[in-house]
Amino acid sequence: MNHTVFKPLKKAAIAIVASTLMMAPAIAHDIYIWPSYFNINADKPTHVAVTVTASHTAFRPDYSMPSHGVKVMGVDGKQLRKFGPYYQGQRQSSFDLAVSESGTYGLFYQRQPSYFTKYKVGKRDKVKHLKANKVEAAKQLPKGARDVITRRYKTISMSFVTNKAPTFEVLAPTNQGFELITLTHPSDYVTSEPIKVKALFNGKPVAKKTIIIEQEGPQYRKNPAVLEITIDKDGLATFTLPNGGRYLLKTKYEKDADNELADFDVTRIFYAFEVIFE
Amino acid sequence: MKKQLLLAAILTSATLATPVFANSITVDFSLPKFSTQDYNSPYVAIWTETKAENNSLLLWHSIKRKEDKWLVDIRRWWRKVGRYGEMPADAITGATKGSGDYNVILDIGDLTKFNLMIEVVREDGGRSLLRQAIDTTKSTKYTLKADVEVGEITINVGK
Repeated sequence: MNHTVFKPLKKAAIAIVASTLMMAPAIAHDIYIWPSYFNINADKPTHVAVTVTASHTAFRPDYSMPSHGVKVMGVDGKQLRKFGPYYQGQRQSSFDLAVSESGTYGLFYQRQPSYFTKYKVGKRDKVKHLKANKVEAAKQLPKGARDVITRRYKTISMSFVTNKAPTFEVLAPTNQGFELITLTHPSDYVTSEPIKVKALFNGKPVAKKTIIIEQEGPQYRKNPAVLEITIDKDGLATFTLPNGGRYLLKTKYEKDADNELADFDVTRIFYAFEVIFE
Repeated sequence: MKKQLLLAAILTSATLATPVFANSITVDFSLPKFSTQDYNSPYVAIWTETKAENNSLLLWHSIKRKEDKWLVDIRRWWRKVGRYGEMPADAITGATKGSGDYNVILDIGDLTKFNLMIEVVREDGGRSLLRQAIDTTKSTKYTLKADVEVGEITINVGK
């Protein structure tokens, strides 16, 4: 008899858990944009499939992302006005990049800033979060909330597609905010040759930040094969990858906020690339 | 005068009979047999690399269509030569060939010191990338050990 009572409750619990999973991804998720082909040879106009997703695991889609964050740069380094039909499913979003010119296209996903407030409460110093900026949080925080910190998160995801000979316009820095610039052209990332990147904030080198690089398929290996390196005093980081395949690189930059809505501004960068086995 | 004309005639007929370049190399190699259901004749590229420039000497690929999007899969050749220009001249390109022994005479132009690169890629199969530093002023014969997708290679300079 009890089972009949419990069953609906269980279902309800599952429904709540499921709806939580389907919700927009929490800030902790990595957001990625990547093409099905990183290098192509096309004389005639063609398309390259592009996936946009927030993910727990390298190259395994978990959450779809809306189209308004997508920014496609043409080979001249200018943003394309249109990028065709956009499909937003449950677990991933996708579109087909129209490639009609020789050179390197830039795929970017920029998430609008979102605010998270972290605080401690209760006798046991329980850490809790609010999806609110500093002004909103002040109205919502429970009595006794302490160690309140609000961060503003901005996310930039990027990847590149090259048709025939590589070009460099899309790789140029904008000199606005935190950026990761690749000094080695992405279509020249090959096994056992150094890959050089540079971190900038408002065009100036950023030192001592951590870069994490993870190869696709950590779920199939004994360990996830993560490479962790530190950016040097000139903002440079050089790494060599012995295995060909797809990789995800992540890094972030935190600084004191310049407005009253947050304590800190955080910019997260996610970069999907291919290392050619040579 | 007559002797000179005769000599010129002999030289001309010799030139027409077999392609003799100002500077050439002869490459002997074999493409091994594979007993697999998914056998496709491999793509083969031979090219020169120097600090100044890289040049295609031979390219065997799918010529069914005017455009061959799979050239990207000859990975080093694509990165060093293919992606930068027009397709190599007809004299250099050809259709893929199955397993067997091959003898090719390749024009190296004015080069004397260069890396000779040989890349063999088979769809649903393996890939071999071989490199031989060549200095025609020092040696005229080079031998490269067999690899997964290509048998032993002999390179003769000027023959």
